[in-house]
Amino acid sequence: MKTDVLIIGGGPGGAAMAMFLVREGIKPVILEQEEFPRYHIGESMTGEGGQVLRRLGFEAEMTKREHPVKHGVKVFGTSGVNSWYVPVSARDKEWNLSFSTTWQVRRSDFDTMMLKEAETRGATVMPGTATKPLLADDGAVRGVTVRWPDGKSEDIETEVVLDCSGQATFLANQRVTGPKYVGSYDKQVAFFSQVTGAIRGSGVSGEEAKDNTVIFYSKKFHWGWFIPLDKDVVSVGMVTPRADFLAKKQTPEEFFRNELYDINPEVRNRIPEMNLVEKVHVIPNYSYQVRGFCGKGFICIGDAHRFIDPIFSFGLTVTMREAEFAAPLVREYLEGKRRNGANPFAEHQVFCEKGIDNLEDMIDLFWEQPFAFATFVYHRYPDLLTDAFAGRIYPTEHQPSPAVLAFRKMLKRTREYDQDDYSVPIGSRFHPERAALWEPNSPVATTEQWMGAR
Amino acid sequence: MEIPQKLKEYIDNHRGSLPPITDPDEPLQIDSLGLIRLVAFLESDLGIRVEDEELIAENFATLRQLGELLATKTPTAPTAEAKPSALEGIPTFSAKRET
Repeated sequence: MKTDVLIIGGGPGGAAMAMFLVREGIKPVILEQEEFPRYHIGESMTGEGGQVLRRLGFEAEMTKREHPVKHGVKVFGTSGVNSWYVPVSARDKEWNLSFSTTWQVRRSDFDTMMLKEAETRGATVMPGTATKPLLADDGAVRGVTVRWPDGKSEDIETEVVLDCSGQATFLANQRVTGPKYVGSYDKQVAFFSQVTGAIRGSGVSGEEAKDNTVIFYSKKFHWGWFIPLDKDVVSVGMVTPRADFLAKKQTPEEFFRNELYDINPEVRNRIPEMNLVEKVHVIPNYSYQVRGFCGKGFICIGDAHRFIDPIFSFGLTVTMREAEFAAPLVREYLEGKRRNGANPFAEHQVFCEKGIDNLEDMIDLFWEQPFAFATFVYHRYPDLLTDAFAGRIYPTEHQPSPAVLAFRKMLKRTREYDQDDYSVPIGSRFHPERAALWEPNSPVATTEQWMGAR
Repeated sequence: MEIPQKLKEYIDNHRGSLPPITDPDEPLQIDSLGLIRLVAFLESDLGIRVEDEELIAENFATLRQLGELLATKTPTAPTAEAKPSALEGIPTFSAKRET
């Protein structure tokens, strides 16, 4: 079988990718191995995620399906008494700032809507699992081997493979990309479920809007989320260091039921009882960065190349934005552009990295220097930080802003983009600059030591 | 540098129902949002800018530690109020006198 463009994965990344490609006059094939609807985590998005959906024409459908409307994020900090609030914001063509909204999404419903619409608009959705990449003599990706539901295998030849396989990181695992480095939040584990009977804000808009995201935290690296999914059900999650979970010697469900209340006193105000309507899921090792994630015949999109941490709800937004950025570049590639260099998508690669690097600096400072972070958000750089929180993190969006540069100064880090695709990124848990931040008494002192130990 | 009277008054007025501080080593007991307001007050009313890297809780833990921080600084003329956010309603802690 032959197709110009094969998309691996029919989640929001793959579906958005397909819909943007259809606008470029391309009819992609989407390979999806699961039957939809299916449960998936990643239920909130930032302002710019909502804007992608609006540009794809989904505003009316999102409203019709009654996805909860998010006006902002309320954060309950160390004492449970203080809270701070970051509104969702948007910028117009003249770069004027205004309040905006985005959505919370039950992924089983949202992903089904996205994939169905991608198909309606012209993508072909095929149930199947990619098992191996097909490589040309020069290492270019020229297709994949697929296993169909009946067990038979077939080779699909392509001009471009778009890896939207999410945390499965298909092409990275197949060593088509550069190395996949364990990320700095690799020792965190997420536990999550859904509850009924939770108490929400009472407002229709702004800080007290009933369907806002609420974040709770107290100790470093211990935090929880509260994300309404519909009128009755709220997604609830907790992230803690793995060592804490192991020390308690409880099952994930016991740990979740007991420890969530210890995150912050406000949790009990919002969730008086743990009426779970979903099992307790666990995701460890969710933090990683793949280097060299674009090349001849392929681009990795979203989680397929990088995920830092869920705390600011950037995953879905970044994925859909990367899909939007990539689509015209895929069209140009199919038209014969940039066929001579080693990496036809090198510019896109560094563009995406820079965006997520700005995000990473924000997340890192939030944990390292919470007082400075809060002062930046509320006093020193309020507008620049609503931009960052909204997901306006890319080089074409006045980034890195003075706020992000201030983050870097505080973290004593510089970012350079002239290194090759194999260098250890700052996002790696074992980058020499980071070892001191993460674990002062880490038994692994240097990256070389870690590399030697593998 | 001594704690300026204006600053001492500001701190005493922002500790909720707690009495004025008498011991330079007692905790200020101002919550984190109150500390952000304090930073804004230092800028707008006393012309003292706390540098980004000085924004650590330890510098604001007690009057003594605050005094040590201020001793490193030369006050300039009080600056204009912090530029308000382009979004109405976003708190910008411009350290206006509160009623």
